[in-house]
Amino acid sequence: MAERDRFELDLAAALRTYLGDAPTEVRPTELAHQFATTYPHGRTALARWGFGRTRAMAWVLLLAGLLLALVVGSLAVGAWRRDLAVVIAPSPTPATTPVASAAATGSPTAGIVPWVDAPAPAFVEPTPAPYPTDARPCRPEDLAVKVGEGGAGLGNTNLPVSFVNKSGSACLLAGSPAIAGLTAAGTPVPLMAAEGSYFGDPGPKADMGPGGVTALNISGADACPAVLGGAHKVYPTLRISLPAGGSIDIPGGGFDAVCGVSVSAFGVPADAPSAAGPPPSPLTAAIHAPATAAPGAVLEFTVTLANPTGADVALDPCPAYTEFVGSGDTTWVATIRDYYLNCATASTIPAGGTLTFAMRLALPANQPAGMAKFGWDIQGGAGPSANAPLEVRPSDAPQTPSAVPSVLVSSSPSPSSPGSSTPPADLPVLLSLNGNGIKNSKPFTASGDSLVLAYTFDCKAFGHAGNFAVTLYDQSGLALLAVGVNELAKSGKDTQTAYIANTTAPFHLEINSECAWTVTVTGQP
Amino acid sequence: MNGKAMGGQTVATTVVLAGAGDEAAFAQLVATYHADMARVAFAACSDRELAEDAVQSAWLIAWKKLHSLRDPNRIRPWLFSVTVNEARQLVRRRHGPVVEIDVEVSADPRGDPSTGIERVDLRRALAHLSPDDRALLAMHYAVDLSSDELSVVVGASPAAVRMRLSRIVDRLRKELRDG
Repeated sequence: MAERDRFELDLAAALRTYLGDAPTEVRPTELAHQFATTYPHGRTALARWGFGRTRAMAWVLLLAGLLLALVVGSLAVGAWRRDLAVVIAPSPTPATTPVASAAATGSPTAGIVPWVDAPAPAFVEPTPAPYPTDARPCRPEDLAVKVGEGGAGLGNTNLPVSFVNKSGSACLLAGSPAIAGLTAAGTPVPLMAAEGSYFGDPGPKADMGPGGVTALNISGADACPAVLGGAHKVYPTLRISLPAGGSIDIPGGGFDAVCGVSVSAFGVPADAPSAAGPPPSPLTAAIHAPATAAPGAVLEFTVTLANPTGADVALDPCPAYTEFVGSGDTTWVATIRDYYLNCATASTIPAGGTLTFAMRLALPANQPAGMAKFGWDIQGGAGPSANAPLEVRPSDAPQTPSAVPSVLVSSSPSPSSPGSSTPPADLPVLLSLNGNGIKNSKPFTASGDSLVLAYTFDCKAFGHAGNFAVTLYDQSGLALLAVGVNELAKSGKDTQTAYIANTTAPFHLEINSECAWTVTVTGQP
Repeated sequence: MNGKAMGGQTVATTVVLAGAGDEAAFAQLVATYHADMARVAFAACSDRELAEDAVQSAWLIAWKKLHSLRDPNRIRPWLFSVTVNEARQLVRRRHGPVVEIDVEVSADPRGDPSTGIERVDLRRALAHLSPDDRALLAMHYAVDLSSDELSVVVGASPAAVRMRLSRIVDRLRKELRDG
């Protein structure tokens, strides 16, 4: 820190005194408990991996899937039925039985329902029915416009614009419009807006019925060198050209175009949460797990499901669950598995009682060391779910390589030459795209065990360091790959390998960056 | 605080545990950072009620999003960036696009007698700054965030941050010393 002169020292002291009046009344423990109660964390953490979205549809699919699971699962676990004892805890107190290795090997353990090797299919997010897009194009006279309050985030600014269909019939706004600023004299100045707002599209392309709303994000920045140098480009009016011709003028709202402009596609915002979604499961879950696990070892833990209600809860159809461990400072490895509960052995959680299930999760040998994200969730997003702290720590003991392949991410095999972002020449290019802001690629297919992503990003036009993040999704909507997330840099280029064994095409990429970027995917078609 | 022990464990460990839903770890973060976040929010908003709302919102966002923080050691600038964004949103919502707002009148106009800067003068000078500039000033001089940390908060290079701070201080110097 640079040495402060006398005035700065006085200023710091005066500020501390003045700001000492700030409200500081808080009870940390109560605040944490309030959040934990109101916003159960397991669901939030699992959502990172693609679970928990579109809960209403998920619930429908879950019920259908579990019906099938009942048949498959009961066949798979039937052999356990005659051997294993089930002990149902008499009170809702969570079980504190330590994890026993015997539970994982199939031997009965008092109070614990043994683990059963009954793999379940990964939860597939239901695909919403496509929105109709066959209405006539909207004309300026069809539309009333509302300009929202400007928003901002980490140097990015946004002017949200809403178009209301005041005509008597449905019409469609689609694509990214051209934007111009109008000077005080009314002279239009094209703003050369890049497609793709940092704040994303406001919703999918869809017909807008009478009284309906379609929205648009016009985005810029407020921290580029030009602004810091005192320059501004604020137009009293902005002109939005409609896809079918004509234009609409809106108040500029103080939007500053000096750092460049980007514009989203027109989109219909998601409906208010009219669909209440599936009712949350009445059950609660708690994980009891060792504090550490070694790469290549099998993580053994228990999950206790508690039924605080006054009625028995039947595990019928037998629920499937997802368990995951994610770790890595530079290379993120996400080990995710789906199994059915051992419903053949334990089929009911009595009113006010608990059931404790043994769990197993085989970690790959390259699971990175460090604090991990570790969670467990009944498939479908309605809970229950649970997280627990876990540290992945290499062990001196011989490690048995995981027999179960995993979805994982590895760094470039040549970290010493990160400047190379050229796709491997011996693999065909499956996808190549460029742009800025948040973009989703078109679906693409691939086979084999891996894909290679070569990427570049350049924030010079943005004016300073920017974020760059890429996420690879498979058909299930499960995030498979994240690179460079939350890393601020002025530019960068590298390659990443994503292992896709046991995943299902088609894939698609989500790229999130305020900077210009290119991404090329190579692999086996 | 970066990398140092927090309640017997490293900051990174506390952040990862809090991100995984550990209430005790989250409470530890609140206990450690809340007061400074409140000061920065107060600087940006100049309104106790708004500042309180901004910090509450920031903690809720932290609870929901902490798991996505790639580098747990960057928790401090991350929390302040969330706080400033929330404060800025609340100020805009209440006051519209106008950036100059009245700063709350203090009961004690004298301020810290050792500084030579009267509170009433400081209040007047701060009122001439934008909420962003007041927050930047508070983060640097009252909370001691470095220009490297501030670069994460404002999304500009450390050099640009230093330049911006220098301009703000020069402006205050002129107002408070010269008049």
